Amino acid sequence: MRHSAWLNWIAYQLIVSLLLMLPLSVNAIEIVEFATQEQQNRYRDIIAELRCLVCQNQSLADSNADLAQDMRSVAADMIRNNQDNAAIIQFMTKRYGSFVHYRPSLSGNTLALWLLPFLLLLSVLIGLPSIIRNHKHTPLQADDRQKIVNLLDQD
Amino acid sequence: MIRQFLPLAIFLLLLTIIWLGLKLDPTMLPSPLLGKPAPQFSLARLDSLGNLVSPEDFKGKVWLLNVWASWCVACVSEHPLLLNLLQDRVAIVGLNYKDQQSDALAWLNRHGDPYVVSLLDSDGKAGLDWGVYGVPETFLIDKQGNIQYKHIGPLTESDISQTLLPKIEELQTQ
Repeated sequence: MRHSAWLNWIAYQLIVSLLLMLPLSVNAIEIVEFATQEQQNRYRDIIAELRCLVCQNQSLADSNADLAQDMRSVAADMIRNNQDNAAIIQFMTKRYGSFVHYRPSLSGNTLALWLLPFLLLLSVLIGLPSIIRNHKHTPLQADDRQKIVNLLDQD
Repeated sequence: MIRQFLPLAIFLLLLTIIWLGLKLDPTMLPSPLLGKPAPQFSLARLDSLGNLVSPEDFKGKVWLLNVWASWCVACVSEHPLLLNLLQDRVAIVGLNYKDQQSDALAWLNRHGDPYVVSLLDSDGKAGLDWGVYGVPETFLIDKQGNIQYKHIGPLTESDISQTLLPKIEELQTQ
């Protein structure tokens, strides 16, 4: 009885600690103040849409890198100056190229990037019926059945 | 007959694409500024903070902008090459990126100074305008003030002899 009460207490402590950590994982690294909630939302959206060029698999929202911090601060300043998200993305793209945007605009070189997943899915969907059709089972011949029985009887 | 070889053909095609893709380095971002005018800045000289310098001051000559910092470890490896191979062939302007003046001057004292002038970009804003995302980086600017080449990471001897110097010479004869 004492054992399970102690385990319960440990579990309770762990769960509470984990829950307390949740708010920290949702926000950007530093706290940034804005005058309106709308600006705060725009900031949150835009830093999730821009890539950190140092840690290239992270968005600006997730990255600890110095450059990410600089880029976030530029984005925040532009929002406070009432520039829209498109202007911020254009600012970053002009300096770093389309790679900085997680949703690059459709152009010559990004066409393949956008279309390829759909093309692959389409080709699988088209090819699937014929693949399934080709995997017909050949029906058992009469003597096959006897051979199977014989093999099983050998154990 | 052809249908039998279709899976093999598709496999070989995928293999080629993946093999080619693995040879590319995703950390080497092509600069969107190539062929475009050098972004403007007005930065203080490292040796004389009261004096400001901008890219306009170098119009009419071919020059390099070398992004460096005293905290940058890789810069130490390319620095001798700047001193020995490039300093005498082309004007090198240093962009001292996110650094302190005292640390930067001490570093130049210790490692040598190949720069016609070094400029203090302490908050990195000028670097951001040039698309700098790591240190060191080197830009080649022509006589009209357009960026013609960007090298990411430290320069090596073969980078200089095979790519950079030929481009410099070509631009200098224009």
